[in-house]
Amino acid sequence: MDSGLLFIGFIVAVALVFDFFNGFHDAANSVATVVSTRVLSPGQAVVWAAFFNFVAAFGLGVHVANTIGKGVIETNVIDERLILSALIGAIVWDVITWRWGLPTSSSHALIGGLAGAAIAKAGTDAVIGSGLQKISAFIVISPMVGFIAATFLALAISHIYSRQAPSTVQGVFRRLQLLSAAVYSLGHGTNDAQKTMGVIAVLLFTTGHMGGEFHVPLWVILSAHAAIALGTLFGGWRIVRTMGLGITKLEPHDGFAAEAASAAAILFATQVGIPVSTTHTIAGGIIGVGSTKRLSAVRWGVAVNMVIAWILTIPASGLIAGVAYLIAREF
Amino acid sequence: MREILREVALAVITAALSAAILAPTFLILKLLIDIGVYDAALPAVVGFGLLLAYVLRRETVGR
Repeated sequence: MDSGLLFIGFIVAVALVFDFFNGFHDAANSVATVVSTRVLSPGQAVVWAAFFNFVAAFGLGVHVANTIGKGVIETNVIDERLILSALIGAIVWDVITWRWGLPTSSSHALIGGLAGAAIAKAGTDAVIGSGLQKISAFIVISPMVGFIAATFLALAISHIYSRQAPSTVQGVFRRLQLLSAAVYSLGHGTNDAQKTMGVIAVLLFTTGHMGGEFHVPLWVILSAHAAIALGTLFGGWRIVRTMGLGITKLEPHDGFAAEAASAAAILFATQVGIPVSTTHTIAGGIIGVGSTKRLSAVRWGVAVNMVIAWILTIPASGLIAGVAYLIAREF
Repeated sequence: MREILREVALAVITAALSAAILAPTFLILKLLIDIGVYDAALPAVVGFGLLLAYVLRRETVGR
């Protein structure tokens, strides 16, 4: 096997590891509410989420993968070193912010990495301005839509169930949380796995391993979904508590409203081909349901950290990727 | 058994109702995007979100 193909195989493996850790890190978002309300045990909840992460491979399209592949940077500047540098930028930034405890988005880090490496290679003309602008707008739009939709849903639910016995409300929403967790995991699986698919597909396309037309091969779709599902499966209970209990205290009906609204926002973004942060979107949903009780019920520090993460992530991961590319170019 | 059936029926109705509540939010956003006004989508969503937060703040004071 020639060394060029081995190098591409290595980059594909790095991309899948990035995808695995995305699932590992985000397992908490998918199952926190069903676990904290004791609808499922931690083990059952993680299997439930991982199953729907994988099922999302079928029938939800590859619009986000196409955006990552063709809509962020010009394909004629892409090569193996650029993709590897972009992944290094995203991974290093994820590790740094994990150490700092900053709730950053792997998706934004990947986009920043792609843009930074492309600028280091070919200047600012290599970046597709309109694509980056659209994605940047959704960094704010997506959690805000999660917030708005979750607020409406939480208000409607509290109005409808105001005269029902607490035991009935518990019974209904314990069942509905299974549904909302499943739909959220579908959204998380499809939007996040497609980012890795886009990176792998554009790497294969630009190195001549795909034929004349850009598309996402089936093996790429299945391996990206398998990686994120395995990551969720191994993410486990240790990091589950943060999301469900970190922002505001959740009851089963709150959990349902936050998850359903966030899932709808993520699936919507997926259908219009925009990569979004699933973590920030569900954080917006949780803040929405917390706000319907009273604004002081929300730990606003989490929201402030999220805004800091919005501002820092793309430039910082871009800078790391740019430096990584300048180093990689010498070899 | 009767209570369980009642809870399942309520769950189905609530799920349908949730879809009916969520759909208009996304239809409006899709409409904004389809007519190519990305520039308008951001201030519209943020403005509405802030307005909603303001209303909630007024409504929930003292709770």
